[in-house]
Amino acid sequence: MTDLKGDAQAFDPESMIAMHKMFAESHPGFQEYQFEIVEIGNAKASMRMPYNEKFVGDKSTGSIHGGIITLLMDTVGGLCTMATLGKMMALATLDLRMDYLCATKRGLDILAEVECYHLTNTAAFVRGIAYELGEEKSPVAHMTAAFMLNTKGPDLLKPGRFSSVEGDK
Amino acid sequence: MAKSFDFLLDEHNAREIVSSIPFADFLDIQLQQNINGEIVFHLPFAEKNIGNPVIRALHGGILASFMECAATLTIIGTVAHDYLPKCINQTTEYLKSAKDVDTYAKVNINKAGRRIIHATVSCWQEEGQNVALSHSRFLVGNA
Repeated sequence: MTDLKGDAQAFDPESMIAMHKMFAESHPGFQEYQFEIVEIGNAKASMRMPYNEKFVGDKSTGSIHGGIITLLMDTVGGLCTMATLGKMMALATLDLRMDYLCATKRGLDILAEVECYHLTNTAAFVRGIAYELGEEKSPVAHMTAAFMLNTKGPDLLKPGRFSSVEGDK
Repeated sequence: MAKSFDFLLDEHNAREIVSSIPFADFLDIQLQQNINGEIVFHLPFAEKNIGNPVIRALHGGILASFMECAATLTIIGTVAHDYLPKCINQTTEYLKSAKDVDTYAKVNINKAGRRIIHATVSCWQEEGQNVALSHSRFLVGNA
């Protein structure tokens, strides 16, 4: 594993899932998105987003707007990068490309699976596919992104960072 | 240039188009006109748009969504009143972290073909300093 400088935090899937839950419960945006971690670890991460009428892009077909899939992919990409590093650290998205393969169907949940295919001291390169979960799991979008590592930012695991954390120390 | 924006400049039309896309409505996208008569899209700051609660930066996905919506709305208002354009792909480049303030975007349609429209969107918070750019392709018509 690449030796990364800076005050990165140790990472383990359990604490990541717990932290995400805490974050999601206190964050007004994530409360609405309802993203939930499905799998994490070994240079991979996946998250599921339930269907929500609010995020529809085309009322006539009920298909989800591409923007919310981008939002999901960006979130999973960052999570995947941390999983690959084995550390929690602040990241910045440098660029993100989305290819929308087809329109999603009304009422179907979206599953985003992202893998990190290359890691350097300063950047992580990820790619992933978003699937809709109907009777079959079929791909709806493809993403490639680059993240810069160790950007100036928060100490994510420090207690008291989120409003739901009790007893700031 | 300004003439083709007439449809969007009508406040009623603009509101109708935004509310026809539930996700654009969710983001609370507003339309404004700058001194050159060009349409400027406005994303009011909302707590739900924060991606990093410690440095209070906007979520990258929100910016990308905002730019995609801005491009879609421009295409509906200027080129394809009758069809909902479908985004084929979008590349978003992040130039600096977006702060917890209002964000603006301007859309430039580089090529409006019969089937494919190519658009560039620039997004800023302080005048003259872009925070993100996006390049996207849209499919229009019955294809």
